[in-house]
Amino acid sequence: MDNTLKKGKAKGVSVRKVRVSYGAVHVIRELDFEIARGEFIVLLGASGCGKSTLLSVIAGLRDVSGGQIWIGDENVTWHEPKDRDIGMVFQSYALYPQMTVRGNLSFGLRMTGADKAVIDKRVAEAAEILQLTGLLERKPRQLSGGQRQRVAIGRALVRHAGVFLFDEPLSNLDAKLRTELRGELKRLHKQLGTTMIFVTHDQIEALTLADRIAVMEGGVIRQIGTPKEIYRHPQNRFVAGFIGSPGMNFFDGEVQVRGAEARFSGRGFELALTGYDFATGTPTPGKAVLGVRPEHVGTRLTGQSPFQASSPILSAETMGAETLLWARLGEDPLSIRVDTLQGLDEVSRITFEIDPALVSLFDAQTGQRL
Amino acid sequence: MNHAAIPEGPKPRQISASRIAIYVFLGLSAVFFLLPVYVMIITSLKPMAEIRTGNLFAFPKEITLDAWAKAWSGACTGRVCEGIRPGMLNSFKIAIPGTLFPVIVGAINGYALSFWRFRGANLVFTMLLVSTFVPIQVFIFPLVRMMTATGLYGTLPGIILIHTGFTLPLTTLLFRNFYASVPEEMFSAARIDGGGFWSIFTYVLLPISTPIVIVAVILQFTGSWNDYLFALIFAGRENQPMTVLLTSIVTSQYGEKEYNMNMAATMLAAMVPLIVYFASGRWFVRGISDGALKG
Repeated sequence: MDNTLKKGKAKGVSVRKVRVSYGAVHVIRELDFEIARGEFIVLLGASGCGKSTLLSVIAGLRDVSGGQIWIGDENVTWHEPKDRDIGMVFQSYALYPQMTVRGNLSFGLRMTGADKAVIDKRVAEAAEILQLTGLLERKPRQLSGGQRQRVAIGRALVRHAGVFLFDEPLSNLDAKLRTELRGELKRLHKQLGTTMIFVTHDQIEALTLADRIAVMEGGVIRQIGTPKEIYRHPQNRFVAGFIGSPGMNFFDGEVQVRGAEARFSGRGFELALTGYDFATGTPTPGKAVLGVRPEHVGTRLTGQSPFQASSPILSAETMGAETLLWARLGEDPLSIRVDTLQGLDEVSRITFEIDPALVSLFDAQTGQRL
Repeated sequence: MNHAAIPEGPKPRQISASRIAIYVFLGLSAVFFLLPVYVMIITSLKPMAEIRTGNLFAFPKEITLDAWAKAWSGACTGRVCEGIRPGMLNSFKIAIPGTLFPVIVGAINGYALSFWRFRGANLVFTMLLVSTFVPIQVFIFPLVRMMTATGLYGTLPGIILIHTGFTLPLTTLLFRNFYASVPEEMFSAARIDGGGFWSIFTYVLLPISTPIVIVAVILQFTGSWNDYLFALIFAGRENQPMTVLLTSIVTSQYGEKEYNMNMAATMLAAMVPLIVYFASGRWFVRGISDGALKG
């Protein structure tokens, strides 16, 4: 393979104090973050959180209201999109309908006046990586959704860009293809080592693809970290509720501190916080919210957990391999994710454990992790 | 034996009363619009003697093309008796540039208005929209003065300029609305791919504009071919198109009205737009109905 496609070309991206607003509407408020060379970063959030706006600002398709965008060691804030050394893939594929696959792939290079030999070589190379070689003379309308999206990826690939931008590229595909193409993207990233910025609202995509995830809400990044950090130690209640499916259970209550021992007292239950890793190091008493993931409720009893409770099963939802049981913790509803093969959907009462080391605690007022 | 129909397979089609009513209405409408055409054709093929008998709808007993020949090359307009023929060339000379300029400039305008949102683009768009509602008669006198002052009055470039100016808002709107249905992402992709203002227009947007180009060309061509008012006022004696000559032929005759020749002249003047419609009708309907792009 042409070695310019390899790691050497990847560039870092730096977003510095970027603001985007339309009149009084602030789409992005003072964003600051760094993306390392070769990193796969996912911007995750619900629609309207500013993630796509941020991407188009990085691409140069939209102007910033303030701040700077750096790609590599260059301040590209005022650069045209074509001068930013980026490739971009869109949700709607955005292929040129009247051009063949070859035409689509080579368009960018033809615009820059590259040699025909170089164009042919790069098109062949991209087509091979994306398994499009047999389809080069077809028109986009003769391709399936997955093939179209591969052409769109190829169009970014042939430009040998330093940074690849993906704007929800898998959202228009059906579930099976999405999984397939997700795997291909991951493989492509490994193979090419390029910097990739990927926008999605789908947390599964984010968790599987990303080196780091930036969870966005209302134009700000609520947390940025590895998928594991985001899942295990959500920094605030928003991230905790957003990540994980089925979602985290939340319980209102209070943290009480007696000497060295901290307890969470909810409505009708008390949980000793032995082994909980407080963000500030030491527990502080006060109103708090306890978060427990449905998959972290233990139903295969070890007998070693400091907390054990039992509850009637109110309902059960079977999702193939797993079953979601609805029970109670104190007076509040609790969902529990179990292996369907355990057969717990047929019993009427369940005893479970909660490991304090796996829960999350948030300040009731600020929503910040305790 | 009574076979009670068991619902299976395609549902049998039934002819309902409303269907019949629709067909009757459509049939009557067709007759209503076709009858004058029928009268024109048969009258143009009759000799005057037969027309004098006064049976308007009767099929000609004796078919003759004399009236057509006379209308084409012998009918008198004032002192000249060259028929409608010289007008044909003039009509083409006016209608072809009068089509090309507004369509090309309109396409570029529409493209710029939809994709390159410059400051005040919306204001320009609103002004264009409003300008299409102003009755054109208002402009005639000032325009006559302006054209006279610039020496364009009564010249071919003058009448072409008039056609271009008056139809530009329409073609711009046509193209702007068409391009509004093109996904913004395609334009963004082309910008990232390194396309500039002209290259995106030429390589990405023009190739997908065929339906709207056809609509615009048909509208413009038939519009400027059929125009009478502007041609009469601005074209000058040298450049009178068929429409103007036709009126002269029909109105400036001495003695008996030659209905057959008038009918033939009218048919001749309408011939080119008719051919355009028949040849491109399918495209025209398609272009109007699918504004949206199908990938």
